Amino acid sequence: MKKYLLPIILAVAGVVLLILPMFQSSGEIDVKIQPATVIMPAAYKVYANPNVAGGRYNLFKAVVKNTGAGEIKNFKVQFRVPGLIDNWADVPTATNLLPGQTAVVTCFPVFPQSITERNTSSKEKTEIKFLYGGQANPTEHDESFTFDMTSVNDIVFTNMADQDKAGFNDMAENRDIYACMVSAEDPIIKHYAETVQQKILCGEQGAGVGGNGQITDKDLAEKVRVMQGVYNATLISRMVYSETQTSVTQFGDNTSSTEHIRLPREVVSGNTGLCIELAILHASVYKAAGLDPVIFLIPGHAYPGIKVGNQYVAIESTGIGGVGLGSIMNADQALQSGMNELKTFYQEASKGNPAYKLLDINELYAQGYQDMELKPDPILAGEADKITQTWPVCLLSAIAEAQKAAPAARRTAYAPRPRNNNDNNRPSSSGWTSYSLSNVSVSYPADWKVLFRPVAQFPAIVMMAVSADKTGMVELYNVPGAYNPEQAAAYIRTSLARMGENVTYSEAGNYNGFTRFNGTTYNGQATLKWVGFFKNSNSGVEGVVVGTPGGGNNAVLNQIVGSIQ
Amino acid sequence: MKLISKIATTVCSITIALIAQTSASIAQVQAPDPVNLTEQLTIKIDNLGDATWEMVQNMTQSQWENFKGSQLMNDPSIAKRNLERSLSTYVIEDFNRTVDEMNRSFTMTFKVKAMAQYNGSGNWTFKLDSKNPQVSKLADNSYMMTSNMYIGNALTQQTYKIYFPDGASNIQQTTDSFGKAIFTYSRGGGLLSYFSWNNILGVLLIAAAIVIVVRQQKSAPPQPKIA
Repeated sequence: MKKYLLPIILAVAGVVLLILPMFQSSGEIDVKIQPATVIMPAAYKVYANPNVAGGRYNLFKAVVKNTGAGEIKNFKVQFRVPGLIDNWADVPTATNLLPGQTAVVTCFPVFPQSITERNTSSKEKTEIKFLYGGQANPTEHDESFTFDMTSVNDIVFTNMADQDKAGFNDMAENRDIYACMVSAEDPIIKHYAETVQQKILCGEQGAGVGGNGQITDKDLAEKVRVMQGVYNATLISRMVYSETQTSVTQFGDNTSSTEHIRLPREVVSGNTGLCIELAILHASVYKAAGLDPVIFLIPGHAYPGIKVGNQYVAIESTGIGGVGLGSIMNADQALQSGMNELKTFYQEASKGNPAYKLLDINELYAQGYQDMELKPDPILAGEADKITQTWPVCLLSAIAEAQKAAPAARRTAYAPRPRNNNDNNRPSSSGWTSYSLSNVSVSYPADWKVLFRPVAQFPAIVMMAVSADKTGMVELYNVPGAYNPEQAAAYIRTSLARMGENVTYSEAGNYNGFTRFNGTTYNGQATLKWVGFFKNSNSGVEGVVVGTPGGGNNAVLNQIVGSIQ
Repeated sequence: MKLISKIATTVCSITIALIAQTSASIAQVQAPDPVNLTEQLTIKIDNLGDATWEMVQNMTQSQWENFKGSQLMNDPSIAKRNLERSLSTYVIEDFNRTVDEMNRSFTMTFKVKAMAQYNGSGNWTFKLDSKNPQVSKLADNSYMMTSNMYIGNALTQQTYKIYFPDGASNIQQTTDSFGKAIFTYSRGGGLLSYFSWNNILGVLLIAAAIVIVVRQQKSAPPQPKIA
C-alpha cells in the first residue's frame, strides 16, 4: 500500500486542481466610475442620447475590469436615481468578461418628463449594481454617488474639470444646450405664435421655395416679415429687456458659471427678457411659424436670426429697449441693427474667434439637442393671454400702409447696405452705386439686387449684385491670408467645386494693377462667363468678378469693368 | 463603419480642427489649402477586445505649414483631451504622436479599450454600426475598408485596415438585428477554454499518478512459486 502513496497524492492533487474552479467565484471585478457632477433638466433628452457630443452628456461611465482568474458570466449593470428613476434600469454592456478583460459601461438615463417641473436645485443620488455569476454563486458589487440637479432654468456653462480648462470654448462648452430651451412645441408658445400670425402678421402670404429649390424673393421677404412681426409683438407688448441671475458654482472638480434662463413661456408671460432669453423666444416662435431659426452668440450678447437658403438674416431682439439700453428701435431699425451685427459676426467667426458661435436650432435638434416637453400651465398661459389681448388687429398691415405713404423711408431690410467711413457705398444720384473693400472698389447699377455674404458657407464672397433680368452679375471677393491672386483664384475654384460648381479659368495678364482671369462657371444648369480682377490687400487678396450667363448688356458690363479700382 | 468612422472622424476632425484653429489664427499669412488629405488607419484588435489605433497622415507642403502651428504639433495634451471628450463612451489609453518632419507626416497611436465584445463560448462581436460598408478581405484575419469624406472643408481619403487577433477564426461580416454591419469571430472558448493552468496541471498530475502505478506494477518482482 505504501508504494501507492505517491500516485495517490498526485492523483488527489490533480483532481483538486480540476475541480478548484467549482469552488471559486467566477471572477472578480475592479470598478472605476466617472460620475456626472451636475445634471441640467433642460437637457434631459440630451442625457438619454449617446450620440450627442460623443456621449459626453452621460450619468456615469464605469470601467470594469475582470481581475479574477475565471471568466465572468451573466454580467449585468443596473442603476437607479431614487425620486427620478425609481426602478432599477439596465445599462447595456457585454455579458461575459475574460480574465483581464475590460468593459466600458456608459449610462444614458431616460429621465421622466416631470424633471422639467423642477424649479429649484437639489442633490440627487445614483445607485449602481454590478451583477455577475450563475445562480449557484451570484455576486453583486454596489456603488453610489451624488450629483447636483439644477433647476430647469439653469444652464451650466461647462462640465470640464478645472484642471483641463484652457480657453473660452472650455469655459462655455455647453452653449449648444440653449437649443433645448427653444420650445416651439410648448402649448403656450404655440398659442403665442398663432396669435402673432393672426394679429400681428394678419396671416402669412404662403411664400415658398421655387421649383428648383432656390429661395424666391417673395419667400425671403415673407420670412423677414415674420421676423419683424415677432419683434413687433414684443414691442407693442411693452416687453422690456432685463437682467437675470448668473452665479459661479462648484460642481465636483468643475467650477462653472450657471445662468438662470427664463423659458420662452416665462418671457412671454412675464413680459421681460434678457438678450439670450429674447433670442430663444424669437427662435421658438420662428420655428413654430415654420422658419429655420438660428441664434448668434457673441461676447456678452445674443440675438436671433433665420437661415434662408445659404443666407442668414438677423434681428436685434433687444431693440425693444429697457433701462440702460437706450432708445427703442422700430422693426426696421432692429433688423438693420441685427444685420450690422452680423457683419461683425462673420468677420470674427471667420477668424476662428470661439466667442462667436452660431446655434443652428434645427441642426442642433437633429444632433439630439432637442426641446423639452412642457405641460400646459394655466397661470402662465393666462398671463400671456392678457398681454396678447391688448394687441391691435393687423398691426403690420397698418405699418405697411404707412410705409407706402412714405416710400423714401423704406429700406430693403433683408439686404442692408453697409457703409464704410467715407460712405462711398451709398447709392448715387446717377443711377449707379459703388461698393468698396479695403483695396478694391467697383460700381454697378443702383437697381441691381444686392446680397451680402450670399453663400453662408463661403464667406469669401463678400457681396453679389445681380441685374433684375439676371443677365449681369458682379461679385466682390476677399480671401484673407492668400499670398497672391493665383492662390486666391485656386482657393475660390476649389471651394465652389465643393458646392457643385465647376470653375475653369486662365490668367490673362495684368490690368490696372490687377491680375486678370477669364473663366467660366457651370452650376449644372447654366454657364456663367466671367472676367475676374484680383490684387493683394493688406490681409490677403481682394477681387471683383463680372459675369453673364448670356444676354447681358455688354455696355453695362464694360462700364462695371471700367470702374474697377 | 459608424463606430470606426466615429472614432476616425473624431480623430481626423480633431486633427483638422487643430490645424484649422491654428490656421485661423494665422489666416492672415496662409490661405486654406484645397488639396485633399490622405489617411491610413490601422486597427489591431488584441485577445481581450482592445484595439490599438494607428493613424498616419501625409501632408502637402502647404498643409504641413499649417500643421506646424497646430495644437497636435505643439500641445498634444490638448489634442488628447479633446479626443477623449469627443469619444466619451470609450476609454483611450497610450496616446502618442510622432512627427516625421522629413516626410511631412505624423503618426498618432492610441489604444481603445473594449472595442470588441465577448459573448461567451469563444464568440466575439465587433460592431461597425453602419449599413453596407465597403469591406474587402486582405488575409485570413485582416480586412480593409475605404471611404472618402469631407471633414471641415477638406476631402479626406481614408483607408482602414482591421486586424483581428491571432488565432481568430470563423471571421464573418454579418448584420445585427437592426441591419447594421458587424464582424463576428471566434477566439478561445470551446475546447480551448479548458486549457487553463489548473486544468493542465491537474491532468498532468493524474497522468503522472497513472504512469507511476503502471510502472510500479510492471517492475514488481514475480511472486516465488510454492511447490
